[in-house]
Amino acid sequence: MSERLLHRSSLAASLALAAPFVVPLSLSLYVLVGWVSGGNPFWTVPDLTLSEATMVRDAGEAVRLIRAGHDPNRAWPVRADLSDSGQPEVLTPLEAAVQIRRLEFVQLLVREGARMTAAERSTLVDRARRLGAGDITDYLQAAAQ
Amino acid sequence: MSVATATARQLSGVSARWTVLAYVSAIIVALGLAYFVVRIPVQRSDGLANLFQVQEGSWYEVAKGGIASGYMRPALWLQIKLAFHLADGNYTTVFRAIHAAQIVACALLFVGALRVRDRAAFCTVPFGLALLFGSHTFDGTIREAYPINTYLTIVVASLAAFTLSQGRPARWRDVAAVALFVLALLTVETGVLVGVVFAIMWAAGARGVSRQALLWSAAALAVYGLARVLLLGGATPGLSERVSGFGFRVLEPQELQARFGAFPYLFYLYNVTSQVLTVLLSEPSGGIFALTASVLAGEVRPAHVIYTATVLASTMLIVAFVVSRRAAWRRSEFSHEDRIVLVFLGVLLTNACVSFPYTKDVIMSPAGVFYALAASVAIGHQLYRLADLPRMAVMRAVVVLALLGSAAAIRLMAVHYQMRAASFVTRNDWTELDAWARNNHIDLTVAERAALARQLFNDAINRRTPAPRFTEREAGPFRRLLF
Repeated sequence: MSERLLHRSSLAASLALAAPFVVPLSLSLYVLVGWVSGGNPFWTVPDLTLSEATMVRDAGEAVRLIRAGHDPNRAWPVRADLSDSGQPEVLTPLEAAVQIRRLEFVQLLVREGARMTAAERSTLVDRARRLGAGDITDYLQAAAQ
Repeated sequence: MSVATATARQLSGVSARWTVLAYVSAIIVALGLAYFVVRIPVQRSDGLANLFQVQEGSWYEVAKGGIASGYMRPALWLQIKLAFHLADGNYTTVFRAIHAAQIVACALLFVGALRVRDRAAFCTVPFGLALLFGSHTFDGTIREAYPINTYLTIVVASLAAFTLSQGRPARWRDVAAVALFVLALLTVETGVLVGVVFAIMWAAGARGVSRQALLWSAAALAVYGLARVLLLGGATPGLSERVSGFGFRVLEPQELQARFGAFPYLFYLYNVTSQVLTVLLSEPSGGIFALTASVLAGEVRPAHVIYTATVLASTMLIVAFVVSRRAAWRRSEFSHEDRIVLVFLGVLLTNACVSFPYTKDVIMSPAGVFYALAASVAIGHQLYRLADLPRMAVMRAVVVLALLGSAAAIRLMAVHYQMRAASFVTRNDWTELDAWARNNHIDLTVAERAALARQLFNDAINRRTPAPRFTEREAGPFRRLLF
């Protein structure tokens, strides 16, 4: 085998192994440039309403918003791409929590100041029952007593 | 080594620029990860309780508290206390900075251990870094912190031990070696691996650390063993202390007690075997045969298959390397690459044996790191050997290497998404602070505790983090390959 051929086979094999890493290395470089320039390229956090934060299961954001003064007892818009129905909706955070069938979210919102009238509770119980969220139904009924 | 292989090495272009490029790529990858690491809040579950202990106890009490229930980790607690005091109120910043620094140190020591001198060796570096940072055994070292990640400390210490063992013998190396070993041993049980690295390197002809230093380390180990017997009664963590994976599911402490309480050795054997296999095959993970279960259930994730295939291929390369070098090893001829593979084998076995009480992937992180080093060496070895192969075989090898490189690159990219998911989960954990305190009988009405908890809570909640729904959407069509 000539030296030139040897060189080519070694080069081709080395490049075949290393070439795919151009993508993650570029990604890392992009992250670093953004870090230095304060651009936050891979940490884009969209602004959410309280009900949207609930829909995407973002408990931390829900708490942040409530503590920043967002009212957990009013209805907030939910964009179509964040809604389970695929349609834009206007929901209270508690309605959103029932919609995603997550008891811990219902409890979190109640802890953070969400309140229900008897009629609202009844509506939420009906909705939870329709969605097969037995734990939420039990919790809401127990809380009423 | 054949003449053609030797020529290929020569043609690969020995130059310092490849060394520099290797370090530069390692720094880029490590800092890219550090960007995400510093955004993960301090953990509520493990981090906060530990911080309460160092906040309230004296230095002596904190060190003494690290010796209990089958564990002897006074240095770990002193490290946390030292960082706590140095932070002087900036807890999140300091603990996240320590974590990021450990990751960068790990990457630099990793590249240093590879001794990159030519193009072929340089081309194995990104592959090695992908195996290192993308490994499921490494995952817990970057995702979690208590609030200092103990396991990452041992990973860095093991790599530092490897580095110390290379080079010319010197008194300072001996002193540093013994100090490093004692510190690692008193940090966590897997610290014993630092001694294993020193011993294997010495036995394989690397004399940077002298025999005298090894004897001092052995004496320190004997004192440590004696202290364990005297202070802990030789106790090890019991079956009733935590959950552990077995077969296809996690067993609760009561189930472990019921199944293995009378004769735990079968369970220990399962754990040791699982820990060896998890490094070599990526399965089982945490003692659970998750991939096998998903295959049986017909719910295999492409990302899981890609990762397992990468690990299997890497293991086969290491086996091929061992087979090709065994004759030289019988003659006690060891190259630098041989030492890396031998250290990996020794660390793998010791690491698995040390973690006999329960299985957890992150405990195997030192073995995982040396696995990545050994795989890099093995793949580099194959690159040089291509010169011995006919043209068609070279073509086939090029295709295989491209596939392997692509699979590892995908895994490396997935780590960024996993880090964001980790940050999301950690932040959300803080919303359950009161329930956690209640369940763990922690009184948050004590003024100092309340102030610390409130500060860390605010730090976590105010760190806005993208929800997985957004990061998954961002991954687009590659989602199934990454998650």
